[in-house]
Amino acid sequence: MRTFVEVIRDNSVYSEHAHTFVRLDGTERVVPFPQLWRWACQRANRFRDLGLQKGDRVALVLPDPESFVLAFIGALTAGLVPVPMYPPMTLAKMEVYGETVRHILASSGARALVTVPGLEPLLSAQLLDAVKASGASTEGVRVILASELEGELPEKTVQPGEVSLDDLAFLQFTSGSTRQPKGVMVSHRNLSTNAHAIMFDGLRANSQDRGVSWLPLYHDMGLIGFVIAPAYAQVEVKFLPTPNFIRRPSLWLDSVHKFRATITFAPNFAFALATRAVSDEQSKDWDLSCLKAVGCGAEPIQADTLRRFIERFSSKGLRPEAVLPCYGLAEGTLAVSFADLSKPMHTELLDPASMHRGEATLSSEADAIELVSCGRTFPGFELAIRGASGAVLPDRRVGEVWVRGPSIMRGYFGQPAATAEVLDDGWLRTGDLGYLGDGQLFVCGRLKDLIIIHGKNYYPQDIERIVSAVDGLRADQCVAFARSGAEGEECVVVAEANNASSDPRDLASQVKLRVRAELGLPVTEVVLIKRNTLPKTSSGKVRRRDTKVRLEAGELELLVPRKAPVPVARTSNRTAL
Amino acid sequence: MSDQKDLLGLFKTVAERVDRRSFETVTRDSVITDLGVDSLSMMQIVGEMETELNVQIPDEDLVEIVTVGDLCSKVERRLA
Repeated sequence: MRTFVEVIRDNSVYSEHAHTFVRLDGTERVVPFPQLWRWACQRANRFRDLGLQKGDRVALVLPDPESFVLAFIGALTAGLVPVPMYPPMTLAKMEVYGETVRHILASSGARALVTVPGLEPLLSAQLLDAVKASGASTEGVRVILASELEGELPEKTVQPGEVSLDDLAFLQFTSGSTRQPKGVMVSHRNLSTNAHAIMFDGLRANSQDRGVSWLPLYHDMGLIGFVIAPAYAQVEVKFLPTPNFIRRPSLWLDSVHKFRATITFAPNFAFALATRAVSDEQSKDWDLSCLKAVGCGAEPIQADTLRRFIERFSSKGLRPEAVLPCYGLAEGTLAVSFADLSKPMHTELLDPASMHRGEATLSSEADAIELVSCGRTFPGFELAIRGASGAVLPDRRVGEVWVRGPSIMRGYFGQPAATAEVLDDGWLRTGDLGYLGDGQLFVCGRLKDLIIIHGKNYYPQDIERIVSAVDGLRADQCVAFARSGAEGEECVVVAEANNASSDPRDLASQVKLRVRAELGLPVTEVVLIKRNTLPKTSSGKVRRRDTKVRLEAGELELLVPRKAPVPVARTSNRTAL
Repeated sequence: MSDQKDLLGLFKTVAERVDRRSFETVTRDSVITDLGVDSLSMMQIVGEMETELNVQIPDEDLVEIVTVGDLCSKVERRLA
């Protein structure tokens, strides 16, 4: 087994293979594999010249895929530990961004931060703020411009053997559903084993395959899925900047068509965006028959969204079996299970009442819940569904998904207590709820988000789906969670209202009425908040637990004041959060 | 002057399509981060305006934009 650095070195003999980087301005740069290795060594040497040593953490805030990938590979080649961070979004509010930047820099103990001139003033200001706010925790962070890493290759070349499989490769900060992301320690062995699982077991790839990705490189699916894993099979990749795809969604599949890509991945929302926003004119010449895998992962998968995508593009040659639902998480490096590459998407229709009892019973009724199979785990990995006591549950019983195998992280950087909560005798507790049906994994949601009222299980997504459909509320901009009340657990909904024209009291009673009618669940309180103020992660996922904390701390921007706070007599009955 | 109105109108039309709600009360003085549009949707709005007008607004221009009027001016400059 080789480290990623050795793979990049060995790949330098494939002079006819190249990665293509599309820049933010739309121009392209083709980097042949031999050059990729030369530039990696050059950057590694520059990092060393700047005084950085093996094991030092170096934050990367680079919006352009080309400069990100070169700096990332250069840092790994030098034995440094890159910490990919998301760049600030244009036209967005900066306060939350600054908070995350300061947190990641401090908790990773980064010694340097690599960025571009356009972002340097903003990031330097954040560093200063951090020093002022918390003392010296980020004082030693040196800001390096990506252009400083370029230059001629000095005599002394780096020996990739200096990096071994048991070295820490990089820190992947996971957005999670809480306010402060944790740094997952990914070793070179983690990367190598997961790359093999993805490319050879999951995708059956060879050097004739080609990838297209617009995925952000600060996120595991873009970084491991398209920078690391393809290298193990000498697969060429075309990298598109994320903002370019968001601004012109046709860019994704247009690039697949022109590049004749066989592999691409995206989260669920991108399938919906491509289906909605691509015009007939833009897609008139497309031939997507080249695609053998359009992976879908990183957020809950909706069968309807994937079906509409397949319907929309099947006339362009897209084969239904190419759409490939996947399951994974940063704590497992990236991938845990893939659906079968040669078969169309498989779903199950389930009885909601049984699901509330934690049993996945098939149903053919109109109110059935549809879940998508994420397939089986890879050879060398184990997957089990366990109950609260840790005992393995039988097939079709809903419990927590546990995973064991060579790609499970070593832990969260500098957080032994948080690590001990999720690692147990080599097993990773994923915190996700799911069940196994004929050996295939079906994921139902997050364990901590599960709402248990009078012994019945309710999935927040089911409640949120109903709330989303209420007129006057914003679709998908709401959360449901449980809190302790006087009579045990009770359900709370926080939702963004569309505008002030609807009567808030009316909206609240609509929510209560509909949720009770469809799920039989009483909602105790409906909190309406201003547009665009619901707490979210950097990838746009709602943060249920953070929303709950902020509601209780009085930090949400309410549309109307809440009724008198919970009486004192009731709060004293509350259990700890 | 008529151009200005048209661009504001186009902004409203596109924003309504992307965000599925009315932007009737928006003026050139409206501050973009106060519109309640998240950054992902905002990039889609900019993208759809670019496509309709067949212009491209470089990212460094977007950084300086505060109001809807700023956005319209940047587009006007590219159209000129």
